Amino acid sequence: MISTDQNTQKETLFALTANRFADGRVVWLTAQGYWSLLLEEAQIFSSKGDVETAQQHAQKDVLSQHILDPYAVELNSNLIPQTTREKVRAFGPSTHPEFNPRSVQETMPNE
Amino acid sequence: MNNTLNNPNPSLAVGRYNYDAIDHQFLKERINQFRSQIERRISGELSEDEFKPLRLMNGVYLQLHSYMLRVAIPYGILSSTMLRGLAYVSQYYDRGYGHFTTRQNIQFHWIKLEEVPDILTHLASVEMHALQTSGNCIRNITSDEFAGLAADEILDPRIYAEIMRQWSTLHPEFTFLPRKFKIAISGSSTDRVAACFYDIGILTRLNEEQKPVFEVWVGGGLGRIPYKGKVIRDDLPPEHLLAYIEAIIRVYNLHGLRNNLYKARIKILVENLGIEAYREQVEKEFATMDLDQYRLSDELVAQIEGSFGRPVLENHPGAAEVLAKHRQQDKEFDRWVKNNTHPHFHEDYIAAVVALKEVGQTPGDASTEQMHALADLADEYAFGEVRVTHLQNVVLGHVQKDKLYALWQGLKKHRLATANLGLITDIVCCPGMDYCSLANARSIPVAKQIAALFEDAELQEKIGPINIGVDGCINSCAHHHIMNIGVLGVDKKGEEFYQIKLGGSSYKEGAAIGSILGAAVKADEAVKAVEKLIYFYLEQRQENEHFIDTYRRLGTAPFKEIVYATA
Ligand code: SF4
Repeated sequence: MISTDQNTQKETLFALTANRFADGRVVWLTAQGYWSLLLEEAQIFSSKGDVETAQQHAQKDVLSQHILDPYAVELNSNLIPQTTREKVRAFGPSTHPEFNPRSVQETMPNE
Repeated sequence: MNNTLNNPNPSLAVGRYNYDAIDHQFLKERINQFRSQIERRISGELSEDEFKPLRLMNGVYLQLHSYMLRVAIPYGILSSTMLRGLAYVSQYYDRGYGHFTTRQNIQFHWIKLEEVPDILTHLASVEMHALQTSGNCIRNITSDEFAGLAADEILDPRIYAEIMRQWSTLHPEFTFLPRKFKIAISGSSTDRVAACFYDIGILTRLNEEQKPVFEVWVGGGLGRIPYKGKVIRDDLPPEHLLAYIEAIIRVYNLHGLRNNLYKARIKILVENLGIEAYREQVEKEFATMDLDQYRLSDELVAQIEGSFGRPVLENHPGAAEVLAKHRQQDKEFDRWVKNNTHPHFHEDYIAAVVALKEVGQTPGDASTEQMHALADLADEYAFGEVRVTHLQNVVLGHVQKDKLYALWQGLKKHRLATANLGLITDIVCCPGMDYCSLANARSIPVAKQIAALFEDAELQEKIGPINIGVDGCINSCAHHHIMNIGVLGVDKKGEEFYQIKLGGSSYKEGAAIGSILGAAVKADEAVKAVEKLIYFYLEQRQENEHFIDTYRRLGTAPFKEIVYATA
């Protein structure tokens, strides 16, 4: 079931995010189970319960030193994070547009 | 005044303590220890919970986009070799720049965990480290950026800062304090270090017998609950410095509230006990100490001093006239000299302040190329010595007056000759939510927008001396509480808002915590508000008034009215 905000009745979607263990970079869980630097590749969850289940499963990636601190991020219907903090995490520091993960293509360290 | 002009050992780097074999060995062991801890973390032997305090003890933070490494610049002094070492790290391990902080540290924001031991090894080779840049310990001790050159200096504070650094690095009692602990020291009675806003702030004066004594402030601090410190002792003989600050910290260590993060700082304890009661306890503790064991004898001070390189300042008759001629010939240079230099005790020398505040750039950031340029220019014009200020600028301390023009031309080539020191575009700014995981809002874009409004050099000079600090959260790394105009980012349901404070002032004479102007507003409104405040001040000011004077004369109400009436 799609979560709704009780006050606005707006649809709330979720993605699961974390910081990559090796270099701290922001990553997003994809439907294929790997962690991407790009929010566009993230698996979108339409219920809080589903994203929480995914968060529990992600503990295996925490235990294998792949990621740190996975948590759910609320997205709007355009699949953009609701909060400024998460927008900055998703798109890089606003003071360095060249560091937007879409501009900086890096390979996963240790892979 | 410092009169040790001859460098006893020309091979020593000027202005700083030069490591001996024991110092090198100590760092090597610490790096090896951390390398093994990182390996154990990577292998999974250590959990993140176990590892986090260990990485923090080595200056490694996890921020929004990456790991950040904070490197200490003890009392703000770098040699050109050290600066090249930092440039190397920025180029090969980061993304081509570093960020100088108000704590006289430098931060690298794009670090990979497994590379940290190699970075630290490289830094150790230039006598640098990341110790005491994090955690509940005595943090990197800050000092006067004009130490060793200011005409009003009574003793060189860097020697005492170094003694305190060595004492605090290895002191077992002070590795796990209730909270972080910050000390600033100046060798003058003029406050250039914001002494009353530190856990311990130390200024120097001459007593009736014309002997140097320390005036010790305690319990100052910013953050969630800002306090101006109080003088706990104003006649401390330098030989008892270690004993006395150890007594201060012991009392704090004993009574500081460890169970509440926000109440664990010494400022809360001093406020709760009252300065008289705190002083009484400190004096009691001090009286029980074996002062001989702590005494900073003349021999010991001389020994530390002997590890500092000294500039050989020779007389250069006619240097001042050459400078005057250059100023006359080049108006742009003249403006820079007027705004960005500080007198040197030697009349043929001058201190140049390099503002890392070019409009459009992030305050405090220096690129790899700029770091190399500064190192080269320091070698050519300033005895290879570079100072980092607590306002995120850089000083080349001992420049021959007749060579200042050539230095300025060199700085200009690297966009380091912005003539705005102490003016409205010389904004102090923390990394904010562009990097910092503690942030509520971004600070850098706001600082940049404010600076852009006042880019015109004549307008800046018309506005005159003023300071602005922009913080991304209440931790106040950019000192917004004690700036003439402070801007604080706050979070309202995930959106960035900004609160404005007015009337703060950082230094002993007139030190004040700013007053909140009104309700927090969105970023563009905050920038507009600053613009309105400035134009209102320009309208209202009386002859020779600076912004802070006009504010003090009129009070908050009319400034508030001007911002919120039409908002
Ligand atoms: S003031 Fe807050 S947001 Fe800014 S750097 Fe300090 S902790 Fe981070």
